[in-house]
Amino acid sequence: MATAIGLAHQVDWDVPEQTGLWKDAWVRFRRNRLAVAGLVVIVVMIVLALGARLPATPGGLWKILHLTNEPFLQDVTNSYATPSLQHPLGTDILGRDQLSRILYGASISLTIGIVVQFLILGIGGSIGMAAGYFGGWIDNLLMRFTDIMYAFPDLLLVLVFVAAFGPSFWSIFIALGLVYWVGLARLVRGQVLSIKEKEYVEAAIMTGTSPLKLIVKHLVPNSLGPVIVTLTFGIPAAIFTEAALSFLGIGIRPPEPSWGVMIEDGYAGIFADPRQVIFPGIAVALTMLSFTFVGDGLRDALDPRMRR
Amino acid sequence: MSVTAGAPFRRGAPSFLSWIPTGRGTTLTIFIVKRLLWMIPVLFFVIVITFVLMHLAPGSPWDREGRQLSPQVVENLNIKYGLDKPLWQQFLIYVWGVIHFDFGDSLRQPGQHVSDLILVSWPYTFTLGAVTFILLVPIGIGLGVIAALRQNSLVDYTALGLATAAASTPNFVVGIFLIIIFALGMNKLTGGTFYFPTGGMPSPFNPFQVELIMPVITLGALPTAYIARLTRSSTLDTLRQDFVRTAWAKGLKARLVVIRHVLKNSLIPVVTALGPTFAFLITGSFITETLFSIPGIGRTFVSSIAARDYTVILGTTILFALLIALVNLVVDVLYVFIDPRVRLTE
Repeated sequence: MATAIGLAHQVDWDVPEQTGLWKDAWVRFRRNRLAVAGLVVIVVMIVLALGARLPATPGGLWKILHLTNEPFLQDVTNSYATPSLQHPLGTDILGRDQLSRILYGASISLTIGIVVQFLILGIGGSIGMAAGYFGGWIDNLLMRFTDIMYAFPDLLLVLVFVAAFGPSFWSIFIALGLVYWVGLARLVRGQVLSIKEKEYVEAAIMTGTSPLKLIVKHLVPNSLGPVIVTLTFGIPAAIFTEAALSFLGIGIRPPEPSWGVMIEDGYAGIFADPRQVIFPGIAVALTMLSFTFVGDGLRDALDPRMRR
Repeated sequence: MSVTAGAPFRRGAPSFLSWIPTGRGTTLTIFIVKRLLWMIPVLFFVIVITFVLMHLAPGSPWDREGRQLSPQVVENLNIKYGLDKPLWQQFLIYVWGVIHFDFGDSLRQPGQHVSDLILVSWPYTFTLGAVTFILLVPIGIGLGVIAALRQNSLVDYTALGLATAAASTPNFVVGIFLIIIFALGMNKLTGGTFYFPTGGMPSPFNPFQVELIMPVITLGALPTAYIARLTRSSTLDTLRQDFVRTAWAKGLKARLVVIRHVLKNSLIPVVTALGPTFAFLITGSFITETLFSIPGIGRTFVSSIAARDYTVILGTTILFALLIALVNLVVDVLYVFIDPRVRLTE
């Protein structure tokens, strides 16, 4: 024993600088250029969207600063205008400014995409956690229910839900939450089951840790990485679903300019002016791509197998 | 020292125990029967959920834009289609009908059975889906394998970039951009002599019609990208395995290493992805058929949602759920044959 300690003193240990999981992940995330670019695009989009909505006047801050026009102001004498200084992306069939409508649409897409994830986390997280933690008949019941939900294709069930609640922002919001929790519930259950087998959890149970503390101290932090990655990939999925619903005429209704609505409107007049679909189409694709890149980056950064 | 070829543990039970039915065939049959029986409660709950949601919905199938039907007419229609009965009675009548393969009459297209509507629109959706599926699997796998074999090369980056872009571009945007380029643009460029038609599908059974090109790309872009990304990552995993290094070290030809050792193993996860791919094709058909005015089931479903045609919605939903359940079962069974390490536990 004494010699071992003595030896340890003699060896010049090459101790790497102590870094926590999150700091480590951030370092690795920054190395992924695409992910950083995606994050930058998202931050810019969020700022643009906030500015388009935040003083709750038409056009928001950008209108007040005279950077854009109002998204709802019609000018039918000026329909399908080509891009100009006045209207940087041109106007639509009713002469409404396209740029301000796209920024307004960004606020809808981003809100739905990001905020829905909290609803999904609430539903899927608690169902998966309960199934994995309690096991037995609770697990059986919850997982059979999850299997049934899995039998529906996502978009089909969302369509049925939105049809049931009536087309509006909130019904899409709730429908997305009620449909997309399934994948997360399965993930969380698997995580909980595997973490439950670990020695440190056994030790914690042995020393009489209360279930609540066990969940908060051990289960939640240790399953957080994959959950964050899944939720990040859920954002483009939710954005896509909202746009698809609106495009099919079942989601957000005009005059509210969601990207899906703009694409639907533009598609009706595609032979008159293809620009009407090109700009909102690029906006949807760019946003979804950015979130996918960030998701890829997070997955690589938070994967413990990749840690050095 | 001698090494026995083959895996000694693959052998089954000793021959004197062979009368006990423990073979894989028996387990497989039990597995399939169990899964088929499990489909019954799943489909039942699919009906329950859809039925309840449809009847919760505000509005009724008799709502019309503009001029409304008179209350007397609405009442008579409700009596004719049994919508005046309490909900539980309607539900039992419907389930009783489904058991007898009677999906009721369409509420919005008078005199049309739901099953007839489905039979008429099914060939369109089937042709579109089948052509897409037959193209997307080899293209996706091929792209993925090539990208993995030339990791970090220009080919890899191009394939991966294309796949990432396709995986995060909504299919209606892909479709519209195709229309702008190949219908509008080419029309203008060639002075109207050559361009792709933007819609319709004149013959439901012909898989070689020009009208199918754009819908197939629209429908297939995302699942192809998904399969390509999956194949690439699983091939990269396999390439790092010891047995592949051994195969190279033995001096096997590259073709043999790739086909016999790498592909065989890296395609296993891809098979599981075929289930989700099939679901993609169904939900993708909603958008693709609407976009290109193809009178298939996807379009029927979307328009019946907007029209609150309860019976058509229920009929198509049951069909979709049944198809997906069957495909998932087929995939699970395939999996057992492809990967001998998999044991059926359910």
